[in-house]
Amino acid sequence: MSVSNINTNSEPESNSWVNAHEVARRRSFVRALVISFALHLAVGFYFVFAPQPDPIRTPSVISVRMVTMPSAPPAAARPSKKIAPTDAPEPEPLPAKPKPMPVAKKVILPKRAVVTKKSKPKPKPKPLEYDDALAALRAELGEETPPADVPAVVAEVEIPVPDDSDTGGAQASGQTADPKFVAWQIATLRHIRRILVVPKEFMDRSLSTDLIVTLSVTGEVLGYEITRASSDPYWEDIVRRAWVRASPLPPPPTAGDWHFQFVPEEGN
Amino acid sequence: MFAIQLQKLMNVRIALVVIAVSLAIPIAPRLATAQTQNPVVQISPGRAKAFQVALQRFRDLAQPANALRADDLRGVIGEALEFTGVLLPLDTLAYLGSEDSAPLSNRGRTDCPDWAASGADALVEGEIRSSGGELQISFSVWDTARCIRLLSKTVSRVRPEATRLARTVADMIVEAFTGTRGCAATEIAVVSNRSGEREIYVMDADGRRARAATNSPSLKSFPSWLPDANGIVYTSYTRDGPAGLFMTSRGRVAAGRLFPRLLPGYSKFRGVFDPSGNYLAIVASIKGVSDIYTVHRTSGRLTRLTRSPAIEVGPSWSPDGEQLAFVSDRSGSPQIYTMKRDGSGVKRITFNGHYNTAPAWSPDGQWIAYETRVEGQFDIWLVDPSGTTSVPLITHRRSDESPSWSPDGRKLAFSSTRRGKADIYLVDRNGENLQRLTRNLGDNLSPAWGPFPR
Repeated sequence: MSVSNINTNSEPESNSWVNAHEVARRRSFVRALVISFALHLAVGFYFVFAPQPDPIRTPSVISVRMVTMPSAPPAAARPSKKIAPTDAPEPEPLPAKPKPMPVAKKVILPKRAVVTKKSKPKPKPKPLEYDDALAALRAELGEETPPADVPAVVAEVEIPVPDDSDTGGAQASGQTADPKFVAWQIATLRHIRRILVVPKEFMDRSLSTDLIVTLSVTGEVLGYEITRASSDPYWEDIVRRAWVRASPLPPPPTAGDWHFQFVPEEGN
Repeated sequence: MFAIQLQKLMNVRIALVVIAVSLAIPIAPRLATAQTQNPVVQISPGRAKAFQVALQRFRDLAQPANALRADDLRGVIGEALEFTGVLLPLDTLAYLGSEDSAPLSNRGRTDCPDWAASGADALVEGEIRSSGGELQISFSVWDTARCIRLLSKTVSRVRPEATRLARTVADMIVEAFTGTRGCAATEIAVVSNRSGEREIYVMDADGRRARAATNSPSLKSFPSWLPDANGIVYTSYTRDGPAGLFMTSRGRVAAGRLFPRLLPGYSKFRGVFDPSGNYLAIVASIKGVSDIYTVHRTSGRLTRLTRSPAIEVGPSWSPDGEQLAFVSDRSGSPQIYTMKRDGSGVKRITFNGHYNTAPAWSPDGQWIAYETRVEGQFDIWLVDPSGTTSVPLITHRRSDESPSWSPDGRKLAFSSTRRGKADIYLVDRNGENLQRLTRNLGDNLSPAWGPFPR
């Protein structure tokens, strides 16, 4: 089975050439198999022993309802015919307040919420009280604590049960989300709306721009990247203009990358 | 030999693929989590706002010197911006930078933060020069937030048209921020009997500077612009013959009767040029039946587009010139239809109401405005070209008729009898911001909004 046989065209010699290289091919295959096995082993070790970042416990969909409470900024206190969404589940009872609070607005409904990665069960953090969240928000916005008879706005969040919930599906609909996140989300919306300039000809067009914004713990915009542009570059310019002026945002719950989506929609 | 090397290469490739896949397994989910770990924060503006623009006083280097010229031009630019409504001039008291333009240069700016802190989204600086009988404006538009120059341009016009020149500057500023030019420098043709006869008048888009474009003892109607804005086609009715098509022009195209030997003895009316300016859609009435034709502008070649025994009138071209909207009573009552430019593919698009006429296709092609009769009065509605969505734009107990789109698609002109006599009004495409252009000047009908000046 010499290599010189390769140049002959007879059938047996051709077969012997195949057999000779079959051995080499098997050796290579075994080598690749060993490498692959070793790498998979390394991957397994990585998943088991590598430190995992603590993901924020977030629902698959978040709906936020603005509820009038004592002492509110005037912009949010617009009376509305479309008060409480009729199809929404009953909210959790609010902490004791002087008066029952009519629902003012349905605020933010992220179109594409994100399911967090599965991780080891962790002790459930104690949720902040609404008053605490409100106080933190006011402190961030530099607002004073209002007198009890003036309506205000707080957020109440309802979370549908996540598919792969840490609680093993025990969470019921209408559960309260992390008020700190909700307070930050509302404060951020308010903050950006102050600087976002969208002429009427852009309103209600089917435009949408997604971007990842890197925030420091104090809310400084460390960088941003448009991950999905719309069909209109002038709309992108509007979004970019807003980001240049947006820094600093209210301090986020955690520093890092945050996914924002800009849509030119009317209303709250 | 070659085969062995090939086999070795394949083995190496297999090994590399296995390694790459193995490495990708732990990395991929981490990348995904980096993108999606936190929930999406959705931001919407809540309500529309106009951009704020700081208009610096342009450096006036034109001769002879005129101390008021720079301020006058700034005033006209400001008014023109307000007319379009996308950018509004910032009060000069809020300026944290200089009110006067520095010499234009290609260098960057260092004072953008000052302007941004003033509340200005845009900054406009410029110079005025004279060249022969022309006035020349060079200007730059800055985005103060990002401190980048969005536009740098020089435009010129003969001195008597300084106002129009300033409006052109304003329209270009709007374009720099939105991608669509403003319409302040455009004109509107109307039929008016303000001098006794029904003549064609041309006025600025804001209703100012109305001047007669025709002057002859006949009844004129249905004005329609050439795509280059150099002429207006209209229908003239005389006592001693059938209606015919005429052209009035600014001098660059021949004025007078159009196609005098075409269909002799029959009425021809409502001519509308296609976007290329090469074909004219017309209505010809033969033995009492009106049909739509196209005529080649230079050869006069006639093509019949509609052949039904019904009355077919009111052609309006789509912005790409591939389709026409028109009115037909083939279903028993006047309704809006569309067809291809060769007359095929006829499709009815209005089903609300029993009397729908006067279609006008929007410049962006998304809507067709039309008038619909409700209890003896006309309202203006919009329908999408597929006929699936129909929405009211203007409703009033008096008649609103003859919609015509501005070339930027931001506004519509129409005639209305809401104050007694017919007057010309403007409205934004969302039905807001009603403006009355004519008052106490007889009846004003059939507005035709002209194209962008070239």
